[in-house]
Amino acid sequence: MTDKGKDCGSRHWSHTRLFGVHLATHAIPDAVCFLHGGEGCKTKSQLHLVFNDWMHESHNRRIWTDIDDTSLIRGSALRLDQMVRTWVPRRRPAIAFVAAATFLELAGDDLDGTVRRMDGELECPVHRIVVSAFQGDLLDGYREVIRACLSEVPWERAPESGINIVGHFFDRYEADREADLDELRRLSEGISLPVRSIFLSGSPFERLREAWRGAVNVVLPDAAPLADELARMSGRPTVVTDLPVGLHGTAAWLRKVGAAASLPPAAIETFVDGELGRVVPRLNRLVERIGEVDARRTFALFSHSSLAAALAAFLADMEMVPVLVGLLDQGREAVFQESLARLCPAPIPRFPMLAHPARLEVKNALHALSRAPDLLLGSSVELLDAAPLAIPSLEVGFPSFARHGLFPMPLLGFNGAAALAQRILCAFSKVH
Amino acid sequence: MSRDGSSKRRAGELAQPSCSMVGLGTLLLETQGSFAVVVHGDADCINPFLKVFPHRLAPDVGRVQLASDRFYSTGMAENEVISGGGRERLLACIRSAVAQQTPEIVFVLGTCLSEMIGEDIERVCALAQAECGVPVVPLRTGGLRLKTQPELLDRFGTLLASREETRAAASEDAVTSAVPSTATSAAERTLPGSATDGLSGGVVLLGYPGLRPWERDEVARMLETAGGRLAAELPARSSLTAWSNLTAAGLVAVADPAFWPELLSLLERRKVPWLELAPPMGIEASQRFYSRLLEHCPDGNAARGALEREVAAAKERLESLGKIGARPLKGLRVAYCIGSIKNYVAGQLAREGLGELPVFFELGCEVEVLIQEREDSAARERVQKNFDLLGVQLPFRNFNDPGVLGRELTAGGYQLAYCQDHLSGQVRQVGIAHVRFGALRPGFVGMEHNARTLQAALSTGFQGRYGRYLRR
Repeated sequence: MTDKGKDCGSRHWSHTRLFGVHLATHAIPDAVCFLHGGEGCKTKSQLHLVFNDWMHESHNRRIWTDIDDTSLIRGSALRLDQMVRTWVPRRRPAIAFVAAATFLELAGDDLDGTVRRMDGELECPVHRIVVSAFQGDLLDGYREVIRACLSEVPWERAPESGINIVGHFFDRYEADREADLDELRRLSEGISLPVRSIFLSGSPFERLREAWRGAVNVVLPDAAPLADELARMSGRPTVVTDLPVGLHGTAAWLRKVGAAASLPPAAIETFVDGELGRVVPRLNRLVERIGEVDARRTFALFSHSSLAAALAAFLADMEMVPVLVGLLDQGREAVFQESLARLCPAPIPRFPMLAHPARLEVKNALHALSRAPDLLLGSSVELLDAAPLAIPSLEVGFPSFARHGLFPMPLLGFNGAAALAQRILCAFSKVH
Repeated sequence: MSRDGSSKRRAGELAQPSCSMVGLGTLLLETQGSFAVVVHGDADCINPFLKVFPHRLAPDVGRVQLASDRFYSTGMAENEVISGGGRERLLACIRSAVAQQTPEIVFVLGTCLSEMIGEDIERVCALAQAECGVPVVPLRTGGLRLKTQPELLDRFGTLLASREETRAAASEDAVTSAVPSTATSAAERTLPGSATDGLSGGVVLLGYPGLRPWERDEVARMLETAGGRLAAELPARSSLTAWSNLTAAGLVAVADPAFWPELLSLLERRKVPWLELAPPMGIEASQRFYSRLLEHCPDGNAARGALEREVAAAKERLESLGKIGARPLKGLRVAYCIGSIKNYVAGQLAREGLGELPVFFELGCEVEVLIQEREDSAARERVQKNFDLLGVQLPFRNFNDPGVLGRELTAGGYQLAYCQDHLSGQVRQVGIAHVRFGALRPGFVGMEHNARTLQAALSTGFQGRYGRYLRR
């Protein structure tokens, strides 16, 4: 297979920045997104939101300009201008984003100027976000929306206390994701740091603007490229962390956040110790039943880089061995390796890694393993493709079309570790 | 062959506009068979086809296998768009798809981007076809020239039903034959050029709701009693083989001829008999449907008795439902919502989405139609014209924006809304019962289900019991 041939296969994460903007808009309940594109562009984005989130509709907060050949010839910026000026008063959003499909970016209309001219004339801020499909993926688009929201925070006001969490990947209003938010707040409050805002978390825009109250910015890995700019913009200490997943990862996160907030280490260790004392005995019952030192359980894992590193480290901490890891996002292999090295409490055996693989590559790699892994973690797509192998599976990350959160089960934090252990036990037992 | 007044309509006037790339791609996604699809555009344009699960988890829907792993994308880079390198990329992508899938045919979908830069897809496909020895079919698609959903379904059906011609052309072009034959290809090559005698080719249902197993049993049973056979449901159970066999059908029953002008012309050229039969929604409509269908079966008269018994049993089952303490449906004010359907399900789109009205009439409901459509006089005239051609005499309201459906539902004083899933939030807002568009079922067996479905939404089911907690 040639490189070019390889490029053509459909990928699990073919989503571009455009979808990232949509997903991020979905995570701000009073935001709207204007998609300047063709009729089919609706389907590219809306379809995935509908399948991924059962609880919160989003179509009324996506407004499409539906460009056809006539409006393209006349100049599509005119249509964009009309649509934004008509629909902002109609929907009355707190913030609006404008993203154009790639073919309209190429057409060379003055979209920047069109959006700039609306500034101050409409009831809400309007941000243009360039989302060319030629580079980047959905995480880049998602991050650009966060950047726009951060720029609207009145950082000149004096901070009070606590932290802002920036770069949380909130993709649906279901109980599993809400449990993650609760867990982030519980952890922070456990070390006496109230959470002032989480970008993004399903909070309305005005709530996000309350971020000026936070004294420290905690930037999660998917938003790491924003950290320096945020530090300058906010004038507040800003620290980049890994994801708080698993026992070791969560403890490391608390220590790093505490240090950034200049908390005494002893106070953090007391909280961490108490949490480990609560959770470890339960997890130990699983570890001692699922394998032995010379006959360990194996796993294959597919997710975006930051989550893949955190999950792989947790599973390694649970005495499981990776046999294959696929990174669904683009160009973050180094981020994964560095994060994994920080998060793993003990050396981890070498394993094959696939970067932004095509679906066929994933299938082939799984079939090529001399022994099927004992556990498979991935998004809906990999799990479906691997279904004939009948491997016990956990659906994690995005998209999650089959697993939906009806009851709170977090992934993050110490409670997330316990919940994951529960899911692993159910998968191995084949009883749910 | 028969056309009635409704076929003077231009189908799709009350439906949503469509991108032809998404439309044809979606229909291919739901089609079984040995083929690959190449989308020639930017990386984003493959996303409509990364659907790996059917949207619903209902047991009959869960069987659908979506062919998303047969979709390929050229994902053109910026320099390729500017310098014309997209042609090389497309050729490489087709080669890759052929090597990986060994398909019998490759479909190449254009996009807004390839249209905008004037890519010569036809030339590249001709080169690829000669090189690979399989038909490579260029399809000028994209979102810049909007189409109606029926136009796309008609184009899709015509394309697949006339595929043998494409295959023949490809075999003449082929330099080498790199693709081995598959088990199905032999059967497809034996297609005759004209209709077979009588009903030996079986009956094909064109444009009806996809039948659930028990509904299919009913149709098959009725036909078998009369010496006929159900050959296929199209496009509901779409496959390359089923479409190829369409031109060998003994009879094609068509739910809405206005939907399929090109395809019906093809059938007429091939001398395949077809017949307009309104969808069997409700007991009376089912009786008419089967009665006319049986007329064309070898032992149709012998099956009359069986049909009468089915009618009597269906009526009895329906009447017995009144004894289970359910809320009466007579006089129920129903908002029947159309114009919001974004899918390519012919069974839902037929007759401008109004095909299920007879169910409500038969149950004694008071129905008004709500149409997602502009609110000006020209739009209202278009609606009225379509209603007249379809023989629908009902009051209607236009609503321009799905975000204001709730307001219209309140204004109309409705008790139940029959509308698409994605509008359910608006229905919940006003606290009335919701039945998903497409949930009503055809046939005698379907009518009992229909009455139960409405009653469940109102009182006897989960949503009926806990409806007040669902309001938002």
